[in-house]
Amino acid sequence: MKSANLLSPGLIKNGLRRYWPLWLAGFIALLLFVVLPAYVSVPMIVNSAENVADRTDSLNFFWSTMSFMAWVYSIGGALVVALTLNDHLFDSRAATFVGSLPLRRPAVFASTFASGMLVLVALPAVASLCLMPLCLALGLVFSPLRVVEWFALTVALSFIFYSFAQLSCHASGTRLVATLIYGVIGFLAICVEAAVRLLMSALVYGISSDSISFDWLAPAAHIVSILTLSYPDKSIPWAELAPYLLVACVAAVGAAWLFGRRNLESAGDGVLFAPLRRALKYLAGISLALLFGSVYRLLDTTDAFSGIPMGTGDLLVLAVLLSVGAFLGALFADMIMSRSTHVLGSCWREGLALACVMLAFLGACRVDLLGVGRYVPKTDEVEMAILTCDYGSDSMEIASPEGIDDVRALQQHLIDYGGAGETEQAFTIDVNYKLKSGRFVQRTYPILTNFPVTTLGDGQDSQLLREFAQIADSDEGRASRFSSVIELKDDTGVQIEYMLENGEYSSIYLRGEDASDFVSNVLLTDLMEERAGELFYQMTPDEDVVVYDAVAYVEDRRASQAEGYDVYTESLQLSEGTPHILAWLEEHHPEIELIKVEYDG
Amino acid sequence: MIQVNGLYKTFGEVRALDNLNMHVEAGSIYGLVGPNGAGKTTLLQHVAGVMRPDAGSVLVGGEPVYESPQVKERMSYVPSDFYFFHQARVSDMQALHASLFPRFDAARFGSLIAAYELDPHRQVRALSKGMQKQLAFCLALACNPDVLLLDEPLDGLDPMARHSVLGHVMEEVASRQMTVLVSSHNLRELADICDHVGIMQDGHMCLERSLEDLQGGFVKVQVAFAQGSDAVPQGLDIMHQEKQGRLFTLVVRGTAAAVEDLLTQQGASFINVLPLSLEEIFIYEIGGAQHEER
Repeated sequence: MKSANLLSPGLIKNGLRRYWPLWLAGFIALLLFVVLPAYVSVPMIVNSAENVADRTDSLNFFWSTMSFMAWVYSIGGALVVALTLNDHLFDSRAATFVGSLPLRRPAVFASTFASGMLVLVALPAVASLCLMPLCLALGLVFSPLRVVEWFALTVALSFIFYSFAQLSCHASGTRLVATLIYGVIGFLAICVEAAVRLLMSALVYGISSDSISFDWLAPAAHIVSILTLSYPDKSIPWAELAPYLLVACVAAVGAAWLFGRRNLESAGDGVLFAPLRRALKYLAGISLALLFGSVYRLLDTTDAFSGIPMGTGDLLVLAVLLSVGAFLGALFADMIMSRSTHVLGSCWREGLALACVMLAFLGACRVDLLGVGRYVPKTDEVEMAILTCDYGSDSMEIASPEGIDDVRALQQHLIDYGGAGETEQAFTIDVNYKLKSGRFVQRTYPILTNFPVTTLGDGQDSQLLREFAQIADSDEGRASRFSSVIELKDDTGVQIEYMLENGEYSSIYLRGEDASDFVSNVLLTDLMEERAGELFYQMTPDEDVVVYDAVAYVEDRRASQAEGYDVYTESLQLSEGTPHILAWLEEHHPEIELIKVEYDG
Repeated sequence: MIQVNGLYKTFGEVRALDNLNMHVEAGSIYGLVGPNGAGKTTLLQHVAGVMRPDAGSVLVGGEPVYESPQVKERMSYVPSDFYFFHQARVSDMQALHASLFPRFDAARFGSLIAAYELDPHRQVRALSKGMQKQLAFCLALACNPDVLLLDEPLDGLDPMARHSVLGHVMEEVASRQMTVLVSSHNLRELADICDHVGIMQDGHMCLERSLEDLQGGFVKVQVAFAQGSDAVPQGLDIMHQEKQGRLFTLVVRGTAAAVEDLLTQQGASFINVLPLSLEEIFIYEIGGAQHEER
């Protein structure tokens, strides 16, 4: 019996056939996603064929761009496919038609889901097949495994976002609300976090908005961050994507559950359930208030990211914006959901209540009612303290209890100091803690200075800076400032690259024990002891060659053989602060003449 | 064939169906009439298995219809505004129905669309509203249903098409004992085809009878009394009355013979029994004079 099947081939075929122009457009877009990174990257890859590091960079650029494109395709395609194939959720005539067909709800859901996934899988499959000959034609042999991996990534992301899109569609009765819910699922957490941090930075000394973590609660933002940050140097972060795949399965089941319980006559309604309607209204009010407040905060680009709180005049404007935003957000949400502009009479009380809540939030933050601004974690709660000063580019990771106590004392000192004031020139000290519970505490403190400082402790507010310098100059501090620890393995190689006077590059290669010895006893030693100086060396192997900069690449050859490059780079100017490297060059490469010159700025 | 027991359905704060009961015999053509908002379409959508009842049951052939593909395979539902997929051609809709309804008869569909001069390769959206309605009929009839549900089936059809569509439906009823449940505002046409009628108001069934019983159960009579009495005749269940001079025009419940006897006993000097149409019965039953005034 046809109706007993879980999947309806007729419905699947129908779904695939009736929107073929849309699928074609999606395919062309996806092909462009493949061709454009190739167009940009392949010349770079070909040109850098002899330079391992450059070639690695170019390949990484290509594949990270491809993974980003997979994300763009998945997040957009999933929503479009879900919105188009689920006519019966948004159109009452379609709902009546589908409801009268001899199919159970699970069969309708499974058929719709399957036809959407077929589209989302088929397009990258064809694109992958096109990618291989394209790469070959451009004279570049890619590992087929990489192409398969990219295809798998695209399918996985498509499944994740398509499940979220299906859940959004099944929780609503209009395409607009479904899109809003999809946005909420994918991005709201990150947007709310960013907005809250912006506002908090306007109200509380020490809270900065320049470091927003891509929280897992915002899947879309988090996924793109782990793809673009993790992928280039390693490979596709399957382990980090796995939880999202599981959540996507739950979302798909949830969508099926909702479809089984929703009344088909709800097609065209804003939301299916009354509680969801109220929640969306409040959410919209709070979001719009945060948006208004954030935009106002961002208008002052100097202060927005410096951690300097707002003055009283600005706070009054902020209060008005927050309350108006909350009121309007609730009003607009009600208009969208009820599809009517006549909502003021029924909605003004809730809007007013929301406005009051936002004003209370503002007041509570300003007087630091929750103690966020005064919070200093206890030593035994802290796993690691991370200290950074914005004129000393390297951060320090302090793990010893004594060191953590020093950092806590510094933070308490900074809190007591109370900030630079909104009109003063300032630079910042970042005090961050990684707690044993896994949480992070991030604070940025702007402090006064009237002139640029080049050496720690030379600032006008010398007490704070000396305190900072004391921690920075400790053994632990100096070691952690160069914490990009270079792992030495059996096949590690070192490439020291330097530029010649004619603009070309030349390299010195080290392998095996030579490489280990250089990294351990020469490179790291100088990195650890590096001090800023105003003199540096030019090295000339003969009259017409001048080396003025050197870059050391440490390359994992085993990884490179599998086309997965694992390269650490340290770039440093040769100077009096790099005595070990200078000595090593004199001993091992006497043909390079070292000439001490005056630094001309 | 169709049994609706104690059906309730609420949309928000509006009660669309309120303890509705209905019984449709196999092989009959059941006309569903009622004012706008009475709940006819809601009832049809429950019978089609589209809507889930809040309470009560809808049985077709003794089985619940909601979420029952086996029952729905033997039913066709033609709503007042039939949905066709975007970009679909006539043949696409045929293919979809053929894949879902086991009893779909492609040859029958071919002959039906030929009769209505519908091109199988044309896009449905390129067809006029009337032609789309004809296509909906063709699809429904080609499924060879045991139960055909029609919601305002004749809206948008020209007289020729109406005649043709009704002819095809009557053929099916005569040849296969198909059961038809049809809702319409066109009571004259319903009266031509229905053998049973249900009158709905405010979500419940006011009246449910065979057309013969219904028309025999109401009398429109003109009566005058010799003495020139202004008093309304007593002992009658009067649904509507008018008076012009000495002449009363009454619409009353009861048989013509019984009404005539009663009026004669009360000294009527003139009695004229007039035929009462389904439309008049509907109007007087639902709202009487107030409904007319509206």
